[in-house]
Amino acid sequence: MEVLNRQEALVCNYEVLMVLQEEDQRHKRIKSTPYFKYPENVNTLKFEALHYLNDTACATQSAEQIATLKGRLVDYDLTKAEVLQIINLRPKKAVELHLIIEECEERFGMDDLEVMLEEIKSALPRADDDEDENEGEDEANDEDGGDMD
Amino acid sequence: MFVLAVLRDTLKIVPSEFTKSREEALKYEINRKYANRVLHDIGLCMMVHDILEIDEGYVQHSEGWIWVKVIFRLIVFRPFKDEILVGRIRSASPEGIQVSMGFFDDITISADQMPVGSEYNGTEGVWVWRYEGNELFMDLDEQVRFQVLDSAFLDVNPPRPKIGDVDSVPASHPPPYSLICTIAGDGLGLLTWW
Repeated sequence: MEVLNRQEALVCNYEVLMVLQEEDQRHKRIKSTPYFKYPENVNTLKFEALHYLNDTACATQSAEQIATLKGRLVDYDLTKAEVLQIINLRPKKAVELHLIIEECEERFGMDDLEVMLEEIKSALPRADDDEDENEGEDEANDEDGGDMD
Repeated sequence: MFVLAVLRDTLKIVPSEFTKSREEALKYEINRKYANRVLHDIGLCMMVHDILEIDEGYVQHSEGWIWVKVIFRLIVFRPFKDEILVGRIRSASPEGIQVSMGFFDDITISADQMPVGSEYNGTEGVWVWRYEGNELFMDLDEQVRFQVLDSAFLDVNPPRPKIGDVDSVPASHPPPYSLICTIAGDGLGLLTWW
């Protein structure tokens, strides 16, 4: 066994999820074959990895959405690693972008980050986006209620 | 958190698999050999991504299967330094906490990498962050966002029971691949905090 290239490319979680799902479907198809035992290590890894990835942002992504987002982020001059993390983590708040982007304060102002978050949200929409907005509204209403007292 | 590694290996296809396409049989063999195993200095191997080259294969005399030289790309879990990841708190002790991602468990956040002002609560068995008068508990199974500081590869031999002690359980051995991480910093720690 020889390693020809230790790191040829970085892959996003979405791509890994696709490979795992393909293998999972193949497994389901051949499950009923007699005298066939599916290797334990493959089964464990597939199960755990699918369980983890289905709980992350990549579960609702598609190739087109990711391509759209990459196109929108091109002007920001981010490194490959930063774009990859944005795709994988789908940040919703500025503090998350500060973690992902190196020297964030020097490269982007608060307004740039707000625009970036909006672009991420529109390119990779999720069903729970509205839930977060409603939570924000409820909190604002509570504050108003407190003031009136 | 995942990379593609290009590997070359010689794998065998046994007669019972001759009915499958060569690529399918090889993918099955690659997964069987590499899935869920740590390769030293490479990372945790997940699944084969695709096959780049297959040679014609040869049959060794006195054997009944085909040996094939394959060049393929493997999906490997190997986060880079400073990468941000999410996992669940698996266990806590005065030394720090252990975080798990399900398919990978050996993530350590030591006591000095906890947020400033946190301490271990012996009675509850969890860490607590004291921030601005609030006590924020880091309960087990809570999701946390952490940052990778370093990774450690250990070339381990399989554990051997001591000679003469047939019933002894081999002591737990250090993990072949572990991550050293931190949750001290804005945005890190429990997802519910930010």
